[in-house]
Amino acid sequence: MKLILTLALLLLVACGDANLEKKEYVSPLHRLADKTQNYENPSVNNEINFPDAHAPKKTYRHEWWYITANLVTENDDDLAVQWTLFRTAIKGKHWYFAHAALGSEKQHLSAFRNAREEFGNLEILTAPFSASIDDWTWQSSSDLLPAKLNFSDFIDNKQWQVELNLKGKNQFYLQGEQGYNKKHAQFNIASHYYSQPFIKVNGRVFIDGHWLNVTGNAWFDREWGSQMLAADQQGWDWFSLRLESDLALMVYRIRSDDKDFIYASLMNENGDIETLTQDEVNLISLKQKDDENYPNHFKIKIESHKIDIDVKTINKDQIMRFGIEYFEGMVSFSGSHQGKGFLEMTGY
Amino acid sequence: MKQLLLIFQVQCAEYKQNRLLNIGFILSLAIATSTLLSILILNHASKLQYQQANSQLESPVAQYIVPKRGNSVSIKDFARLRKQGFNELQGVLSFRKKLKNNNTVYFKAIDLLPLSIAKPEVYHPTSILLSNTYAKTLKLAVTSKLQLIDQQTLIVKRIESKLWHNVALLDIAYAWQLFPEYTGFSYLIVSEMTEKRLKHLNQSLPENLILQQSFNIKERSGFADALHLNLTALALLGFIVSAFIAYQGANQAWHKRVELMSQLRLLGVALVDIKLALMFEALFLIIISSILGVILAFLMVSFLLPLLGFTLSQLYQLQSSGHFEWNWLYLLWSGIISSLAVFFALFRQFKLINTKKVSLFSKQSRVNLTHTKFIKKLLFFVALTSVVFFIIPEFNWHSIMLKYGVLLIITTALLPLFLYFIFSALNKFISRYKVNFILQDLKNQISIRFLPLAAFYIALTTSIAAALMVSSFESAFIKYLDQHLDEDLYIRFKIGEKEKIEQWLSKNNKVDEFLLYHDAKALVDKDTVTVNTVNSKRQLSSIVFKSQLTQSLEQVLKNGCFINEQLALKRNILLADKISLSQSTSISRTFTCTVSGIYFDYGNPSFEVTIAQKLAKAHLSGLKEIGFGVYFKSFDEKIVADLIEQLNIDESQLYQPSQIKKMALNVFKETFLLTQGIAVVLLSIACFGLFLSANNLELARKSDLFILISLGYSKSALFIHMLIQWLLLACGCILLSWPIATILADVLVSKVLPSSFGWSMPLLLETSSFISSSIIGLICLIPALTIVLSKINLKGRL
Repeated sequence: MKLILTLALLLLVACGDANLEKKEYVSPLHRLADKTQNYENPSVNNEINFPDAHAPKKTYRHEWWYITANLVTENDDDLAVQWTLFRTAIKGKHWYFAHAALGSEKQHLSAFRNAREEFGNLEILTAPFSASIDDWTWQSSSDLLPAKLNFSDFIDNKQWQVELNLKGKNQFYLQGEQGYNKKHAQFNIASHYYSQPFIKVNGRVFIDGHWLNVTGNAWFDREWGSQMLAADQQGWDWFSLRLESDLALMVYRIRSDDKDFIYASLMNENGDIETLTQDEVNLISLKQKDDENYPNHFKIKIESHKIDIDVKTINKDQIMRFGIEYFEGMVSFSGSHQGKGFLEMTGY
Repeated sequence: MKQLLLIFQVQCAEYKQNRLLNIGFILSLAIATSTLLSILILNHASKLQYQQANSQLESPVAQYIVPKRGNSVSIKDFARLRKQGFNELQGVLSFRKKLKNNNTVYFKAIDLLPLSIAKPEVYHPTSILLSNTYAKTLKLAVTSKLQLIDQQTLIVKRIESKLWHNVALLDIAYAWQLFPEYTGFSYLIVSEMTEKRLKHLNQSLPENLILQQSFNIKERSGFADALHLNLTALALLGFIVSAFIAYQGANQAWHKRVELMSQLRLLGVALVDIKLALMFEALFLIIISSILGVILAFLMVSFLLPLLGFTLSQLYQLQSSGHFEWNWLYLLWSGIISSLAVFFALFRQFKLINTKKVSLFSKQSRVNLTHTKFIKKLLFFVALTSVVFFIIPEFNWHSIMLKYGVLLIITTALLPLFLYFIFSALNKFISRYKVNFILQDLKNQISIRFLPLAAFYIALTTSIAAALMVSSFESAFIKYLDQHLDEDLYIRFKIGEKEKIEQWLSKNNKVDEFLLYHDAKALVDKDTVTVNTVNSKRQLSSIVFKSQLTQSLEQVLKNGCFINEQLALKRNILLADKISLSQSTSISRTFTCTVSGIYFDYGNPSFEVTIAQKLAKAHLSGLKEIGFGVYFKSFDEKIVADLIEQLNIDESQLYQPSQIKKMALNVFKETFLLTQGIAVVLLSIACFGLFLSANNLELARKSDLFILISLGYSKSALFIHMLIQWLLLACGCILLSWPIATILADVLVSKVLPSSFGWSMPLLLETSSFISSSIIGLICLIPALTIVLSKINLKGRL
């Protein structure tokens, strides 16, 4: 009798818990999958012209200006820099926010800014291009390049700062079909997308209390659209790899419950871009430990171009956590080609 | 092997035969496990609650940037500051409009876009959001519209919100669009930043803007830490309680078992087999009691808290937010304590059955309390522990708790002597034979009943100490808030507003008194102190003094000063001592005053000095006028509305201490409940332990009770005999526990707190804590003895 009573009481507590509302976490990344009626959708018929393409596209819902750089310090240490300016629209209003990061093999410093044109702390101009959000600035002296990029922040009362000079041709590679980049095999989900992967960098960074001169390579991406993901898609893995001094590989895998969608392109410094088909690209991801959130080892094989490389993350802590969590960090690759690049992983 | 199996069979038969007795042993051990687990889990839950309490006391807004003159901060100024890297700034636009029904609606405009993106179901950048509560307050004719007095009609979106219960919320850009007369921000809010950055921000501000500190009671945040520390200290005592309960349970179990094993030994069973069988039984006891202890702890925590006023959903909130965590380390600790107690008690019994005189222990005799050896051992133990008590220094709270834990053990060791002498004294004064017989029988029983009584005594003492500590905290905090925040309204003014506010207050006949508050920073030796000013009897009466010199107000205002307890303890400053206040400005200034009073300043981690306003103005520089405290003859919300209307100041400049008091008390209400939960757990354990012990011990001495029956005792007489004995024993324990509990509670509030935080609290001796705890302990004896009585068959064999 006593046992039955005890069990009944335990059941009561358990049922009480089960009846109460349980809160579930929904990643903000899924906002990219929202269906939108009031915004323009990319079309294969849209022409992308420069320098107009650098300007904000407010008829579309989302867009970003993205730069990543693999740098080497005067002490031969590897550093990674990321700077991204995002825009997202809601009910005709535009919210801008920026993510910036400076990482080494052991450290990862990141910062966030947000702004609105109405508040006077955001300004984007073209011809020449310039973008400033609070104290972070991208100032070009021509269409887009060359440019000066400056940003800084504090962490635990210590400042870190990045001042880079970006040099390269104003030669842009239109991804997909003349800049119309599909995101799903079946549905009409796409963005307009172009890149400039051949940017030379020099400058200085302030880290751990002192200035260091740096040189390296940078990669610029620009994308805009209104729906970036389908409902069955969780996120993506994006690779920007400088295979050789004049050859760059971009692989973009959008992970899905059904079938992953892969887009890849090979860009030559002479201006040629070759889009690779899904079947040509073999991408396998591996995790060092089962309990880790993000993979840290990939194998990319493109037989048609004799590319067979192992890509590994250098610092597994290069995770951005400002509302949306994602990995953005430097990688090294070896195999048929050796070098450094960048990896972005979202939706894990 | 055969013999071992035989012994196992005997043990199983023993469990079947004396079911109640053996279950009682297991339950005793389980209680030890559950005590510690419950206390550790509740302590963990309280820690997280206190962290929450702290964060609620701190305002998310550290500072405001306000215009010196005029009504807004321009967009240009905001952008310029953000471009300088001060991204901690956010703009707020607040204004009010009159409705057609003559009510005033307050608007608050913020950057609503991020919220609209994150929670589009609630927030909207092109809507005015109105909470249902506020709509009711405004008495709108049409609930989805705001009809302004200037004929403008605004559509509103109704939301359910506790956060925005007294404003109409909208996006700033939308506000500028709807009301073009507003072009900037009312003020900027600055979130927490380092001193260095704050200084840099201050230097970067344009001429027309100024930094102002936000009003909060963050300095009370130390209060929550202090309460949690004391609970942790009590949790440590919980270790002692559970160890004792485990040991007494184990000792009782082995006492009966070893009697049986001694008989087996005499029959020729090998000692090694007996020991092995007992070890297996020990393991079985530990595992079963640990599992049972976990279930008991879970039930206790889950059901006790609702009795204290927690609703199931609040409990769920605590569970889902990680407040209740089953840390396996807790289980390990409680398992270790049970195991140590069981094995220690077992090895004691091993010693007995190992001797050649095992035949003497086949029926273990009681220790005669008057036996010289026993008394010598006891006194030696007391002397040794007393030396330890005096040797232990009091340099931090751990050593203080260790020291007074030793005191608790000393008094526990003295308990049998204390009881013996009380009963001996009673023997001398009472002449009735039956009562004397009860007392004499009782004196002979003290040593056998010592362990359960000691466990009851320790648990009761700790429980009373906990209850006293919580009630002292609660009452001191309430009294402090009542006294300290006794004005009706506090008005923070911007530059240029002081004179008009002062004029309004002087002319308003509803105002009883108003005081101007100042503060400054100074040094006392090398310590930075905040200097507050006092100017009237009323202000003086709001200070909660720990000690003060008998002086008139005039004498105090002439050359006296008051310091907070933190400064007094740190610098060993006493009443009538002189202190020097200095300021390292371009002209070095020093001012000496006599300490006329030391006041309580609960939870404040910093130092304070309070001096007369005249003296402060005469001797100190950098005296900032921070606001007015106002006492009204009769205060109501209409006065606030009139003030805002007539003086054109912002609602955010007004603070009602009664609301702050309410908020502070709400913040601590739930934390006090948890601490009371811990006190109740300890008391429940004490009572349950006593219940089991009374049951076990009386069942174990059934043969003695049969003798009394054969002498003509009826069942009711037997019941009264047992009850009186246990009541006397329990009363004796209670008598000793009251003063010791008082000492422990006093140590917690007057030594542990200053040692860790630099401030103390007065101990409030609340008799209800003593009486209720004691009565509950005594009442539980009745069902225990009833069970025993039901087991005695009057017609059974003697």
